[in-house]
Amino acid sequence: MRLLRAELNRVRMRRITWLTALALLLALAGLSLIGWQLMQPPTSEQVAEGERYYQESLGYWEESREQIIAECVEFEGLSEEECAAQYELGRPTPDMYVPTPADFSQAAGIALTASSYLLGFGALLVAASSIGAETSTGALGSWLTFVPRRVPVYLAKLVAVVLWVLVAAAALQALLVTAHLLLARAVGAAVVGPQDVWATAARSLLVVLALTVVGFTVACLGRHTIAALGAVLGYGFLAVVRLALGGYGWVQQLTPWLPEANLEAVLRDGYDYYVTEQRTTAEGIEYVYHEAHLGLAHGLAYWAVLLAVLVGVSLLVFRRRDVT
Amino acid sequence: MTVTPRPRRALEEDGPAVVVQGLRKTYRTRRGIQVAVAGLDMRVPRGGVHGFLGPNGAGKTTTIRMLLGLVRPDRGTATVFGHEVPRQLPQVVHRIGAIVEQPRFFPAFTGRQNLSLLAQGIGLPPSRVDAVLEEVGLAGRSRDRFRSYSLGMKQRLAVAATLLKSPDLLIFDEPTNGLDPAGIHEVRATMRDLADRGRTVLVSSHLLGEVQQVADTVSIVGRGRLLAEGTVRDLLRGAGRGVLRVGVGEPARAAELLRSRGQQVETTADGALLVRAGEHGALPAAEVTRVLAEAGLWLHELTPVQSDLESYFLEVTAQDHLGSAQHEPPGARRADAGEVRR
Repeated sequence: MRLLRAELNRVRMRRITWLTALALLLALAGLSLIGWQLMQPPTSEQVAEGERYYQESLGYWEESREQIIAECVEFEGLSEEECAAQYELGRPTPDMYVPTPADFSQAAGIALTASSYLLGFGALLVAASSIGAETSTGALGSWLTFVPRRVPVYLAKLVAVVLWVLVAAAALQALLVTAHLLLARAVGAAVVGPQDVWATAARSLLVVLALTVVGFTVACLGRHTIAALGAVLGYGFLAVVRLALGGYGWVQQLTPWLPEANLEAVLRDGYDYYVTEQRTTAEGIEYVYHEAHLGLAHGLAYWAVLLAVLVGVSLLVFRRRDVT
Repeated sequence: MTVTPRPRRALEEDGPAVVVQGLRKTYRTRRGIQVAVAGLDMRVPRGGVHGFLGPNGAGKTTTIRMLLGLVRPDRGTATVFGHEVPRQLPQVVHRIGAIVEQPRFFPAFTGRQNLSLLAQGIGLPPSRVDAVLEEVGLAGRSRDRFRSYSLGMKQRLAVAATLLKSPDLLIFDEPTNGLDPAGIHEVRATMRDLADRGRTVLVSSHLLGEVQQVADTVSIVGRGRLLAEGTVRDLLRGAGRGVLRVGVGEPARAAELLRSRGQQVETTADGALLVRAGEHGALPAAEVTRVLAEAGLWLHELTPVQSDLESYFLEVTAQDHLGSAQHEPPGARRADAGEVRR
């Protein structure tokens, strides 16, 4: 407890902790502004304009009906009934053109989901710098001459930064939800589904926890804050490469083992993706799209294992490493 | 800087403060295996100031890091107050205060914040922080950031950190590096003060004049091995024994005469002769006087040469080829140097 108290104080004393919290507070204020706009009822001009676009679109849709169904029959080889049913699916509706205000649950859900990665990156930065700065300045050596038991030292540092970050993230999310609630009442938006909002907030905290541990362990292994940030950037580059190769089936099949996909599964209570299958038929090559789903449980299990490995390896290294 | 006296548990116990036996540490580098410490043996007696001397790269800092559990030895043992380190370090760490190389604290924290964290980590009350800051004369600047301190102030903060625990053993690694003469004097006085109050001070340095002024005993290391060990007085007595500085009117003739009596003679820049014992032993000063007088050579100076730690150090390290770290090619057999205790 003594060590944990000291480490909690150390995190509290660090300027980066408060600067990050301030930056996140500003970012969340921006998200609240977006939420406020989403919950605003449309103005009479917007309604009139939307109604006009809707009528124009509906007129065009009705005029084009016969021509498009004929083209469908000719080029796609379907029956007229099938083509008509398909065409019917594209009928314009008023909500496509007249803005519908989001309710509290939708707006807060969007804000919480968007805030998760902001909070997560802030948490990663705070966690990485807490151990990275201590190692790179050599202050860790001074600390170990006072408290040489390395396992408790490591655990106290990790637990302290996790506690700090989770409490701060929970407080910021509570502020965000409260701000949305007040804004919803101010603009007269419907306040429905608050339990969904709390569930999203809880899952968002899991994302923050995961990125905190990643930041801490990678900086511990790399002995510097930059190591953790570099690892994140490096991974980001790989993710871009993966996106560029996203059309290949084998790349899509990697999805269940990707950290970001599993993080999305945790954050959004499941993650849907497509796997393309290439088939050779008598008519030529055919592509079939299969929808696949990563469940919350898969995401949680994946991240539990990944974090356990990261903590285990970094603890082992921290325990054995020469401090010079 | 003054130090608060406290009951000395150290004096009630037997045995040396630090015993190092066959300690070895190697690092892998691109050039092969670098031997930082090559089977070092050393004893630091309890109480007093013990100088840990050696050229840069001789393995002093690595040895200190091994004593503090910061670096793991490949082989050998080290004990501090009878406790084997690093295994039993937690049982004895509260009795050790150390500054390794430069003082290292969080640059953005104030001096007080840095010490408060250390105090909190070992369960000391905040009043202890105030006390040590007062002791080292930093109370007035304790709320300034560490990065704004001068080197001397940083060093004083590090000394304050070591005093937090009221340790029985203080380890200072090159404590006067970068300090001005006043700072050097201050650190020297602090070390002496601590030792006079019954604490053991182990100070590593390559500034031998500094160490000679304050140390009671020394260990001299080169290339990671012990080259000499003992009290400063004994080492210097051995080093300077039998050397005479002779001033005479005809130095060339006098030198020839003394060489014919089996002495080693060299001429200094100012024309005086340094006469050392030859194969058949040293001529006493009276005999030198008589031999030269019988040849009609009259002395105007006859002085026994007092050696200092620096010349002694240069002598023993020169014999060891002034070694710094050694390298072994990858895959080479690791051969420890034997003990070279003089």
